[in-house]
Amino acid sequence: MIKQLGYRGYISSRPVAGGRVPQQVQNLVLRDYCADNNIHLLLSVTEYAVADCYTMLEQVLRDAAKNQGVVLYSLFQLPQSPVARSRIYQIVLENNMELHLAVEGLVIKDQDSAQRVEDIWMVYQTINSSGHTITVNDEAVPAKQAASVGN
Amino acid sequence: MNLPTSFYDSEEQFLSESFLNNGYVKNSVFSPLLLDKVRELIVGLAAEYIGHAVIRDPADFLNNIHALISPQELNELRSSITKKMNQEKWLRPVFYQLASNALNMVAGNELAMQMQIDLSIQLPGDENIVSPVHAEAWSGDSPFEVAAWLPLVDCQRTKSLFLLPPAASQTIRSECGGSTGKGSDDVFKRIERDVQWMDVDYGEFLLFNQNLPHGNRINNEGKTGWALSCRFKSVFSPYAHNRLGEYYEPITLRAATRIGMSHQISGEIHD
Repeated sequence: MIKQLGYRGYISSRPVAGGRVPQQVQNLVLRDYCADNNIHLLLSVTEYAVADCYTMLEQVLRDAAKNQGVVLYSLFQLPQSPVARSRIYQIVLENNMELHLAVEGLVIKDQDSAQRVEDIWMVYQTINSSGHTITVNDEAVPAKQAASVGN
Repeated sequence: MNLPTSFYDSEEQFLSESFLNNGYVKNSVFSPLLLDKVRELIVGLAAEYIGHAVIRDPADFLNNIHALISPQELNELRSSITKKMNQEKWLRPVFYQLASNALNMVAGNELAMQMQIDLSIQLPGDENIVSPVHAEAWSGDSPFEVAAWLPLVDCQRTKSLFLLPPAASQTIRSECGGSTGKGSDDVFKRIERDVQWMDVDYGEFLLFNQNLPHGNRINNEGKTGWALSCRFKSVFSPYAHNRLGEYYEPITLRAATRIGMSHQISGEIHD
């Protein structure tokens, strides 16, 4: 098999962290991020629209051996379950690949960088499960409701 | 022996009251040596961009950089330095440490920090870098944010920024609402008598309430102003549109919080 060096793009057809971003805009962000970081971007795959579905992400990670890594549009495309996220970090680290998160400009490539991303997720989920009111699209909504809009 | 009747110690009390009443606090950095390292980095990047080899007097070099670059070249220089300095993993932890004592007292000890440190360069007489009067909360930013401003040279008057004190800020917001036909220069003229210029020397930092109207004007001091800035907020306060991960990240989560978050999340969220 010919190893196709480069990073596979990953975009969503569902809202990300409560906001819907057109796929062409997600792709623009990926291209801009990759150009800025000298990354060869391979054609993006789009996750299925079904709620809580990560089939395409799973496949991209399985195929990682063929590539150098994956570029996600955002860290909030990772699963909501801490256990599922932990498994993804493990796959990335065990395969010596890199998981880039374009909007946030973060890269998961070792234990420290995985913890950095996980800290953001944990605070995000704690805020969204504690009954705060946050703003989504300029409308104040209960945080739990806003959280359920994403992923 | 007098036993305390307040939960705040005297320094916390003083800083809190200053921040509330004046809209800012100014203090000496935690470590002048660390500040020098930060300035060395910026000077090195600026010198590299311009093509200078050795810089013997960093303050003189920064103060007089307008003799070496034009206003037209400024934005490219600023963007180049900003990108490269933010690639240094130590810069944000050091920036935080320089002001951590006051930040902890004003904003809390579990903080979220802006993911990029900003750089401002104010060339003398350059009208393109004027930041019109504004308040971050007017643009939808979280009112819980605190701005930390760290000058790399002594900054006085128009080489620095202005802030409208809390008392004078009471009515200005309502005057800016709706279609008044007024521009931001009109707003500045209206508040000009009341603004306070933030005179901050190298070796000091400024924390200010960015919900108060502030900005800068054309630098008429004859020397170039240089400053780094970064925003902080309590990690569990509302984020508004500067979102977690995209703009902010938690930097000082405490052990009990980590335990609590793991407990809460594993108990509540399932895929």
